[in-house]
Amino acid sequence: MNNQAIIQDLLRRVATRLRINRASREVGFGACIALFALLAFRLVQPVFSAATIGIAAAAASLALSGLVVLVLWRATRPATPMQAAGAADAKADLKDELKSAAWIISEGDASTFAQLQLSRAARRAEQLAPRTLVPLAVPRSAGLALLLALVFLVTDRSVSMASRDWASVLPAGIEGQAEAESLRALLDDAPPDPLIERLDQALAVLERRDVTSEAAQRAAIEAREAVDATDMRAIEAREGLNRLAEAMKGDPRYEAVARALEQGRTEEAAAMLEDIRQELGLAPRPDEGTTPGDAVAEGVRSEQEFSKAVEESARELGNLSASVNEETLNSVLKNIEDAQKMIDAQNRVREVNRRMNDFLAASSQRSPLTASRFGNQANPSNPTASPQTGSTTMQGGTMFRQGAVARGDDDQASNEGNKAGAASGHSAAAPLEGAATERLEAKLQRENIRLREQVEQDDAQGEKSWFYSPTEAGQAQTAIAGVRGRDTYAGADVMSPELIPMRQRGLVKEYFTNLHESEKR
Amino acid sequence: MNTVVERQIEDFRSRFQHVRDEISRIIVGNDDVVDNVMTCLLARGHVLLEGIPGVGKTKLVQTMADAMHLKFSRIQFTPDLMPGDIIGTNIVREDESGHKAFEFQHGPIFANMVLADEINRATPKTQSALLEAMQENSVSAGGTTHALDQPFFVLATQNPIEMEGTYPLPEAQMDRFLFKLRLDFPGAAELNTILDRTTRQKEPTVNRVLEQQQILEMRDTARGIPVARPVQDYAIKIALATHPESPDAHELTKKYVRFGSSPRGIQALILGAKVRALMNDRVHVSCEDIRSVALPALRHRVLLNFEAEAERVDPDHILERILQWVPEPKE
Repeated sequence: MNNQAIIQDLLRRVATRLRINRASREVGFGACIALFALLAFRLVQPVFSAATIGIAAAAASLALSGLVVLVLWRATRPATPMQAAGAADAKADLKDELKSAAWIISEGDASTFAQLQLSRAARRAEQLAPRTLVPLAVPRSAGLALLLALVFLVTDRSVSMASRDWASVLPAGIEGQAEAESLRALLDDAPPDPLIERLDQALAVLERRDVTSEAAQRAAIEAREAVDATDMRAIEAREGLNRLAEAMKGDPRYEAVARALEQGRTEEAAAMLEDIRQELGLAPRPDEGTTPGDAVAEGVRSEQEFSKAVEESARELGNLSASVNEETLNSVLKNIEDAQKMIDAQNRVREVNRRMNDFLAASSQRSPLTASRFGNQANPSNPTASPQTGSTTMQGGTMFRQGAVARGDDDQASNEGNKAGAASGHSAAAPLEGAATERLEAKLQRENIRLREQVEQDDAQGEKSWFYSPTEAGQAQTAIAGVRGRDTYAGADVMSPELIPMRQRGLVKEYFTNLHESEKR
Repeated sequence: MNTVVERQIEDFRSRFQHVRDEISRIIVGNDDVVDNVMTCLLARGHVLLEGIPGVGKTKLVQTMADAMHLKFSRIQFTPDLMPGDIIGTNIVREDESGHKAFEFQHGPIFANMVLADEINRATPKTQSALLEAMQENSVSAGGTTHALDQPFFVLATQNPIEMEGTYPLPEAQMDRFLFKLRLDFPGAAELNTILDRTTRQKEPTVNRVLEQQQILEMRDTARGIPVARPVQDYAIKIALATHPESPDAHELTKKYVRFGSSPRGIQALILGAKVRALMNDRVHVSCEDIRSVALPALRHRVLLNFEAEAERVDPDHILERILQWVPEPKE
């Protein structure tokens, strides 16, 4: 092998290693960019609509294709012999010996000095090992790409689980389709009710396998709203029953019915009223023969209609001291049946809600990133008494509820844990501590009015006010601010101490002195 | 064939080393100055030496001339020195038969090594006579051109302190010098050695170790060294970085430099680098060789502007920054 061949062989091997290193570096760099883009894409994906995501995905695919082409082009570029020589010279501190040799070879210099240089370079090349000149190394970008890949996997999993809250969990959950269908089955035999229909539609959306996360979230919100509306309506029904019971208490004939209504035995109360009707020998109701249970086909009245009807019934019952009005009894019976329907609907919906919550709780607790596990416990569908009233130990911490607890006169031990802290409860708020302090702004406003009256009075008497006597120069300089300050305290030039009356200063000082008086006590 | 060249290179190195050793017997320190003067001699250039009086400028040149067996002459430049005093003049000579004829009387420039001491004290006209001879390697007088004996090597000195009554060399004439070297004041240890050597009964003497013909051979050898194109590009980049109007100019160049290096500067870089490569037993020029001669080759070719003069910016500082800034070629 002649000198040229020896040098060229070394340079070729060095160039190959350079190319490998460069390719791995470029691929690592490209992978970093691609993974970073994917990560960003995955993070913003749940925020945007499917259409936006589709467009973004197409653009990102295009950009990634371009990146792949660029990376491939850069990675597959061959390393020139001169580059290999430069790398070898730098690594082995050859002071440009191989570079000069490569140049002489490329130029075909046949001078004696050039040949001598080649022979010396060839001798040097024989002593060099390409693996020591250019060691194959894993680029740092590859490590970074690996890290990004791990982050992407974790993020992808977390985002998937978070987006499955409520909706997407149902089809893919423990019982999947069957669970969703059983939830809907609970609503099958419900009477015609717009709220039940609303919930059913939401469940129908949620049970679909191809539902998008946005649609699932909307359906979940819809379901929540339907549940809340049913609850509100049931509260209205119970209040209506209470009002009817109150109205019936005055008449000994209805005493038992009123007691039954108070104790929640609605069906019993309705039966008693029916007995009273029969005892009085009144004609059967137009819908006679249909029990509350049979009134499935009949729709549930709206809250407003029900409330109005109950109001009328209660009023009429109050007037039934002498005789019993058939129409009134029918109306009361109808109201009781309606209330019963509303309460039934609530129970049905609550059952659905409970199952859904149980279901979601299972999936939420699997994900450490979701906060819905707190929401699930903060508003329990089937509350049980806490062993330690006032604080409930939860996953991830203790929620102290003392701030929300307000003692009421009629609080009972049986309600302990259930009603304590309920914002909608009827407990009175605890009184404020400390001395009542009048608002500073009000004080100043009042003082301003007093001041203005006094100034007007003084002006009328031709005297200057005793607390403020500006000089001629001060008057000339602060006239505008002073005029403004007469009307509103806020408009006064408060930076000029002369313009703040002594009494107003005193008020401010007194306010801040007494502000924390109660704390001192 | 390679053996012959190998021997030439070996001879080059050994002769260079002999001269250096002989000079070091007289001259204390300043090894880099000695190397650069030798480099200049072998690169067929001339040297401008700058230093305060008494640091051994003249002694250095005399010692070199003694060590190299060259004809040496010294010209002390004064304001009344005329060109004829340097190059010679035609005189009328009468022979035995009474016939009278003009005969050219050779001036002190007809030597192998000329010391032009305090060159900036002579008038520009006289300076031009010397500088023209340096460039042309010949002298014209009375319509006749007289070739100068080779090697012809001029070492001009100038004092940077005493500027009164001097005629500073124009930039174009400064460019004729391959290198501009600075002799610094010696340190305490070196001063001790100088005193030991020069204040006793017998001063050391120099042996002649290099013949005239050998110097010419060494010059030929140096010229034969190949320079790879990337290395040559590196030298060009350095030179271009000294041009304020160049896109490759350094930021300090743009701020402080009025004119950058001429093409002669790049020639000086390459020629000096070739000698340096041989001194280091290499048959190729490296970027390191270029860097090692960059300061002496370019410092007198970088002309500073008024701002730089006002801020006392040294051309060496700018060049050092340029050398750090210009990257070595990767391929």
